[in-house]
Amino acid sequence: MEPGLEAHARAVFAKAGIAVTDEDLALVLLIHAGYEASSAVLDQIDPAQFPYEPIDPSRAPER
Amino acid sequence: MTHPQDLSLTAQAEAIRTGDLDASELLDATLDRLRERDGALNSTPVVFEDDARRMLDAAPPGPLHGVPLTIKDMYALPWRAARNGTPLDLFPPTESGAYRRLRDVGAVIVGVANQHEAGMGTTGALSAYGAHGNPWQPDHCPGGSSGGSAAAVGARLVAGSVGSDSGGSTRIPAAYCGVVGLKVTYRALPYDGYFGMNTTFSAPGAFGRDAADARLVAEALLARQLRANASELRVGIVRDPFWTDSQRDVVARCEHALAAAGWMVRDVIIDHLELAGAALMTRLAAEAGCPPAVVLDALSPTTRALMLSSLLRPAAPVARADRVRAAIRRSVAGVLDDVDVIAWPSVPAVAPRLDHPVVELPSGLTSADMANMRHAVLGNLTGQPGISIPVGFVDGLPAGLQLLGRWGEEALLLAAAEQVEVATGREFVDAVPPVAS
Repeated sequence: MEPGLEAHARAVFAKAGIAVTDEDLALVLLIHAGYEASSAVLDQIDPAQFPYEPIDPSRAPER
Repeated sequence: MTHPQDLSLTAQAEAIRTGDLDASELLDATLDRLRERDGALNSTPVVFEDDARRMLDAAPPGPLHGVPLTIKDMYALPWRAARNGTPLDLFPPTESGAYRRLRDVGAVIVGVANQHEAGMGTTGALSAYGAHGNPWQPDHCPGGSSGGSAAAVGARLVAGSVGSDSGGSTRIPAAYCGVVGLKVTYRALPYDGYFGMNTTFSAPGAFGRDAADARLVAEALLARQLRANASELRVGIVRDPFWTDSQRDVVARCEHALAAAGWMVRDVIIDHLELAGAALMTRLAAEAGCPPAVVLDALSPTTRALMLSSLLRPAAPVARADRVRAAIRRSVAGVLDDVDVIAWPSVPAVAPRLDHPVVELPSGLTSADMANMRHAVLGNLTGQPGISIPVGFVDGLPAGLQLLGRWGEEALLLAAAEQVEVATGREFVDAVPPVAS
């Protein structure tokens, strides 16, 4: 777990007005770790290979 | 005498039209069957006896006149809020777009289909209405999040149902329950009153026991005819990981179906496919966000934690996910210039037990959710239609073949499903699960 993540999480939830239990927090941190692991591949992408282009999801993809 | 819910949706509609079946008697028989058979499945936890009768009394003539259907808890109805598998009224009662489309062709909505809580899972193990089961083995997952729709159709409680699909939620339960499930093109019908209106991925789904029945439901939703010829399709195969990392017997059933259909099959490559799962999950989580505390407090600990975790996620990966999504959309569009459909197993393994939703793949043990989502995300990233077709059984549980088609080409997917049905002698779409025997 990232250092300080638990304290950060508590602060974020407090700011949002959401009371969390220790059990909530343990599950959230577990899920967050899984998310970090799975999204890490996105950190590795080369922006030049993936130029920004607007997507209109309600239109057919084009080649 | 045949129970009317043992007839196909197409046969029910035809029998009503010709006067061979009284719509009121069909409704009564359907309500009886739900009461008698749904105990082990919990597919349809809310039944609208009075509202269904009122809907029938006012039903106009149309292709589904007098035919009972269920609808997922993601659609608001005039007499009931959408709850999205939670205990809360989240979308107020209204005539949602899907409701209007069904009503206008004479359909009768007889109940709410159970679903995975908040649409955030592919197993059906979590729901405010309780877990729901698979008609082939009730202690196994029906899939999700539209599990109640697929289970009810598979168990012959109703012959058609409307679900939704933000990350495989129609195609996955269709595969698990051995029915046809069609995810329609993104925004192909009015989204008002539908939970999916707030995402860039979600699309309604049509369920039937075979392609003809799914077509009837889809034609109602899309308000257009869906006829095509799929006798000479060019089929693209994305070998790795969809075929290489699925259970061997599932792959064999899918390969058999493709061979039986007699189509031209060739390997294709989708660029950046390895990034598709991360792109969809990152974007989907950002779009789902975190609801207010009053909603969080009503959820199971797992779903609550999933939603809370969205508050911790940085924004930068969302921008990267969008770049990846754009590239994948281009690549899929390019592949579909050269082939008519792309095919792979709808799910890499058959339905696991509800109390242990884990599957074993060649790459190792993994959660059913992760495995299922990997096979589902392309259709949601691109918005294109996809279908799951029953193609056999493994250890007594159904396997499904997925076809992804071009934008707006639902008709071709349904015709392709029909081609597989004919080529396999209707063996799998006519199979009757033990709960319905």
